[in-house]
This record gives sequence, structure tokens and C-alpha cells, in this order.
Amino acid sequence: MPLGDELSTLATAWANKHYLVENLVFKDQKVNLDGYRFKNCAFINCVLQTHTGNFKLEECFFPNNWSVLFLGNAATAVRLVSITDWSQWNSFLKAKIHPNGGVTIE
Amino acid sequence: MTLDAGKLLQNIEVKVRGRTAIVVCGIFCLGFVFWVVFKDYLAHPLFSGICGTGILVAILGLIGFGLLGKTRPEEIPDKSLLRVEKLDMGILVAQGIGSHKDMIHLLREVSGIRKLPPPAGAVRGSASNERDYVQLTPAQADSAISGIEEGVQKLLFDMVAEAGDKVAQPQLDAHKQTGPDTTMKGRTDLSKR
Repeated sequence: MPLGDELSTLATAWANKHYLVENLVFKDQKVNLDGYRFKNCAFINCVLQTHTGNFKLEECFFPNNWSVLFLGNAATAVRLVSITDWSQWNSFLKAKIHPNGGVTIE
Repeated sequence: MTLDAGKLLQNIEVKVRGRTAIVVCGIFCLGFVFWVVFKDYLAHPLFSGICGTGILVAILGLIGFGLLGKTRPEEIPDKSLLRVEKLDMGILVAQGIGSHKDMIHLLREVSGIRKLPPPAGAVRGSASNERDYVQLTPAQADSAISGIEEGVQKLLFDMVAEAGDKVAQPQLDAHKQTGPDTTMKGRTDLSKR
């Protein structure tokens, strides 16, 4: 099998698969989100970072201070977003914030 | 079904170098000697029999040397990864990937998945309630991360294994867009910012 085909297929497959991390609390850490699906996790005083935007959050919490670092292609997407009218965003493009404060991004 | 010689040749790749070259040349030479020895078998059957047996053993030995011999350093494919960052095109060129382990390592690098830091605690209930947080000892935190690392490795391994099957299928379906519309109209009234 040609390496290019295999890598291409793997890249497509990777975009649809994430490793589930659930029920953990991260505190005072730098957490790279890419490739993971965080479920019922808390990030306290954490710096979240993403290069690709290939991650999912499900009912996660961000108490106290936290920040996010956009790198690589994720930063490019954010730059594009920065010149749009935020009020025009449809619900699919917005993070879902639950009544208990949990955040879901899929 | 027709046999297209051109396509057949395109799919045939013969690499004769290093130890392979020695083995191939040796087999050809021994084969020639074998033919010479047996050409006049009736004139000297005992000589032909002894020499023929010896040549056959030598041929088998050469084949065994080629198949079972320890891999020499120059026979291991060169590995390289060229990442074109300057053009910001995400172009990656990989060469010399000879095993699933290498592919998994490469995929992990390409996908950007990083090892998570040790968690400070676990959630026993809802993460919205800080009273449900349970502090983890360093050993427990390391154990949790080790488990995640093993899981990631297994996920990658399974993906590499599945890739072979998926490549055989037509790729066109992979480009069909599904799901909700993610298009939004741009408004660049920058004076409001």
C-alpha cells in the first residue's frame, strides 16, 4: 500500500476519532486538547492549547482562571473568526453551555 | 480479464543491492555450474551426483543466508520527515516507514496528540460540583496518565490496522460533506471593533 494513501486514510480516520478522557481534574497545567475527547473534566487555572482544533469537550468545567492558546491552523481559523460578526453565528458554531455551567464543544 | 503488460511492469519493483545482489549472483553462478556438472551426467554419474548435491546445498545455504541473516545497517530504510512549515500548507513527506510502530510514532507526531499532564484529582460525580473532586496521589496520577498513554497507543495501532482496509475502498465518499451547515456570512465592519 502506498505510504501516501495510508497516511491520507489515517489522517481522515484521526479527524473522526478521539481518545476519551473522563472524570479528571487538571490544575495549574498546560493541557494540549488535540486528539482527546474530555468528558466531565475540570480545568482549574489551566492553559488549554490546540494546534488543529481536533478535540471535543463534553460537560467540562473551567472554574477560576483559565486561558486558551491557539496555535497552528487553529490560530488561522481564529484569525478568520475575528473579522466576522459574532452575532451572526448559528448555534452549531457556538459552544453549548449547560445550566450547571458545563461546556460542550463537539 | 486482460493482462496489461505496461501496468504489470509499473507494479513490479525489483531492488537488487547489497546482500540481495550477492545472493542473486551466487545463485545464478551456482545454477550455471549445476547445469555444467549435469550436462554430461552419463559420462561421470558419481562426480555429477556428489557435485550436484554440494551445489544444491550451497544454493539452499545462500537462500537461507538471504532470508534469515541479520539485517545489516545499510538495509534498514532511511527515515526522514520533512515538514514544510514556512508555506503554512501542512505538507508532510515521510520516507522509510517500515513498520506499524514507526507509522504509529509518525501518526502521533502528525496528529499533534501530546501526553497529558498528571491530573490533580478525579471526579466522583459531576465536575460542576467541586465537592465531587477527589485528590489523587502522585502515584495515582501517574497511573492514570499511563493508562491514557496505553489507550492512545492502542487507538493509533487500531487505526493503522484499519487503514489498509479503508485504502482499498474508493476515496470519493470521504469527500462528501455531511452534517449541519457550518457556513456563515462574513461581515467585516471593523469600525465597530
